[in-house]
Amino acid sequence: MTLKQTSGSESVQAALELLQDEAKKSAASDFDIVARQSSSLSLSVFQGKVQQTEISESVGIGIRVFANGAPGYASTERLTPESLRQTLKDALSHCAFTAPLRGLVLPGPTVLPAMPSQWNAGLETLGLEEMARITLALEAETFARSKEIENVPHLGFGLSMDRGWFANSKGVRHFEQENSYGLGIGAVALRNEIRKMGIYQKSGRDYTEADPKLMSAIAVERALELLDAKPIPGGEMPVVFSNRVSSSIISMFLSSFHAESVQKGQSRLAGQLGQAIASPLLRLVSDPFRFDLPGASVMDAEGVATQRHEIIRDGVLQTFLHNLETAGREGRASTGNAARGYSGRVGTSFHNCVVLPGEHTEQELLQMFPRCLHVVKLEGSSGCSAISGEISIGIQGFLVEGGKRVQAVDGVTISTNFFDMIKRIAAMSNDYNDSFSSIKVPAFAVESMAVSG
Amino acid sequence: MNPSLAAKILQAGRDSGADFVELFEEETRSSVLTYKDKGVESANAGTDFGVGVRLLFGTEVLYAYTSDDSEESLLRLVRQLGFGREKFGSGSGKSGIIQAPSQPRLVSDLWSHMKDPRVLGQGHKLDFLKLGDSVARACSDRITQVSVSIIDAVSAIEIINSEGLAVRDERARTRFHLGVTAGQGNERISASEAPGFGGGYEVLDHLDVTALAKRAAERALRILEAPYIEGGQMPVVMGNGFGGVIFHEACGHPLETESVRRKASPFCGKIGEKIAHESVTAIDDGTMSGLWGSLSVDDEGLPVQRTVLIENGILKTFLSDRVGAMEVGVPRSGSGRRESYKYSPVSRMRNTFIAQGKDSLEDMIASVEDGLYAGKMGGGSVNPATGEFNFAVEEGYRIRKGKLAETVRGATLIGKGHEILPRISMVGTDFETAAGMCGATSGSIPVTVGQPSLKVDKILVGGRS
Repeated sequence: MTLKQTSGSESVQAALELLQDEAKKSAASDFDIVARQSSSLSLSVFQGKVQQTEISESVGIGIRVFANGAPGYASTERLTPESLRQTLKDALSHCAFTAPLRGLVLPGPTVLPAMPSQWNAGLETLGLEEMARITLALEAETFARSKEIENVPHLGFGLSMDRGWFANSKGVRHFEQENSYGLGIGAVALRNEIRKMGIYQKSGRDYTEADPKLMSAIAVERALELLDAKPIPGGEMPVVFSNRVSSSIISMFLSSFHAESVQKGQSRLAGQLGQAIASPLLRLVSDPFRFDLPGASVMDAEGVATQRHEIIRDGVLQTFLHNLETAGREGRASTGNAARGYSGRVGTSFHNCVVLPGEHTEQELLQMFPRCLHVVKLEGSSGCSAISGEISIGIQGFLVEGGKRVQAVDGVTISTNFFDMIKRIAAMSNDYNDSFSSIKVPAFAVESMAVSG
Repeated sequence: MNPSLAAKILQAGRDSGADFVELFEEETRSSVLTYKDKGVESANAGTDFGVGVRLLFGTEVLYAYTSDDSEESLLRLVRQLGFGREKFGSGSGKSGIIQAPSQPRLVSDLWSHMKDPRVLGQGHKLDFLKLGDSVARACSDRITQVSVSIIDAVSAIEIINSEGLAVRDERARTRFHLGVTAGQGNERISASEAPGFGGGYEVLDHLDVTALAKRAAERALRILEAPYIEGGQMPVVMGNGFGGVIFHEACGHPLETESVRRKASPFCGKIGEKIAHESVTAIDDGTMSGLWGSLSVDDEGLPVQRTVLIENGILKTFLSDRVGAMEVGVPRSGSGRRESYKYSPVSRMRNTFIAQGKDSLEDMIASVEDGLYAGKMGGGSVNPATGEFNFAVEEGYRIRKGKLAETVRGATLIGKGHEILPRISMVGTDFETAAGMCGATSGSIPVTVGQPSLKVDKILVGGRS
């Protein structure tokens, strides 16, 4: 069993054509349609056996219609003519509830830059048997590395294929497809009745780069290094966020840069365009042309050509991210950052959110301070709010003195506000972690932060 | 699904050597209307449809799903799933003739009392949304944004398996969400209320929108003026209702066979042992009428039940699905759940709560010299394998010398679930439940958490020194 590029897209394309034809004949003045076909293969391994195998094929199609300028949405996973007609009817009925969107004009066809293929034919030949072999080897390598590895409760290999179609009433047609793999492991180490989990995931388009020996070494090291952790006394101290967690902490606050949040009073950045909101070291970019990352695209979810935007340059806020709706409200052009799944309304998203690297290594960041906290693990996200900017979160990591680890740390929390924190960034490292992610943030150091233990 | 097609699919699965084959067909019709920024922000509706096929070889699970319910598509998926299984091998490899499925039997009775969202439509929601918006905004001119939405879903599911089970269930759920943002200068604070129910629009008839809107708005305003808590180890009195999210995350998940069978739970092998203070009795009950996490049958077709997990501090059993029950050696509890046909079912919670005790909230607070009253919890998460949890406190109050003192913000509770259970020393009489969404292996599902107020003698509270 493998995932082939050519299988089963005819029904989605036929559904798109039918929905489009029906919408043209309807009371809708304009419309746009997104359709998606996804397939996947995955398996998980536990104690030397494949525990679960999964195969999936799913489709969905969603339409946004406008009647007298007011939008209405509906979607379906049933691609029968009856269901598609009902979906159109539902969407039209919703226009009666919503207010007209000022200044929103759907785009017409435009010349787009060429986009390198996001499809690796090599993944088409990867089957469940080979996936099982690699995953079982990873488990065996992991147990062999340390007698303190008690359990590997999380171990899985997945392949996915996604194809997306876009069409609107102005004649825009677009198609993108991608495939990728992901191999992940969570290993638990036990010492003196204390358990710690080490997690490592490798994903991307080329599965041959996933080396079970290297992956097991990293997961085991991450589990063992925190086994003797203990709290430290509370107080204010410098904090260095490892590139293992730097993307996570930044990603929780990205909606503050969406024009919709600003316009609706849910971003603390309102009224601060052109002002210094962060350390001059911070450069934050929405980059759809980083074709090595999964957020790459030449067209957004409303048919607008994408662009690279520097959101924060040298600490100064340059722009917010717009879709057609938020741009229309301000009488400006969209930044091409519309996002939409087939079942949801149009929102906003970074394409790839990239914080540009600094000049120092992560180790050099640790050496900047006589004493600092090196954070390598965040415990959840529930103490963080993009609206208030609050960060109050459990962490695990190391107390570092003179650039050297002196104690593993757990049972502590950090507390700050995101908008204060980005003003106090003292250094940015020059290296990202190796994840295949649409959010890339290097390690960074913050001058001072409240730590409770 | 027509029984003869179901029989072909089930037989194809058995012919591949599977010990057990199951079909799960779902059609869910959902809609949401959102009122924000003083107008309807969005109106959306959708139909989710698909079929999931599960093959068991011993306890090895093979699962496939598709939105294409044609015979050709389903047979192809089953044959792909079963192909070459002996190479990985835990299956018996024995083929068998399935028991022919009958016409699925309806196990629920929604329609006798339900106000059907599909008939009444989105317009039925509008007055509730407008009322919530106006009441919240009227609380203060510092209320800068109000978002009110009602989401409903009506599902028709069929579960047919190779043992002859054939059931049909109809499920309806409706949830009201009201989020408030309060602002002062450049500062923003949000607070929300989100009750959810099993049922259609009839649940809105009893919804006190005015009280919910005032509660959220007034809480946001209080937090806006509150200082940050100074962190440290301290006794914590947890509020009733959504305070139960801590038990759900820190103890409920490790009590699911899905964690136990992976040996990723501190409660492995501890049935019959004392794992909590004797004042603690904890229950997961899928039968409670009208609650957000209630069901007629679970997603394996088994009638749900009331499962006592901990009785007076003693661990009695785990929550189990078919595979978990086989691997862990406990009876099935009707807890096999999944978000949709896109997930294979595993053991999950339904309505999980700590039962009512004997202490008053006043006595709990009076017993604390210096601590925290976590009146309203935010969300949280846990790693079942290590027991480590973290929870945000949306609204807290310091307790000083046995009395409630100032409102505080920015508190986070962290610890290990199995270490906290023995430290629950007082359990209140003010039992309440609250709705939530729970995310885990088999997707995001509706659950209820609940508890009376309770006192934990010591827990790490994160804040600002």
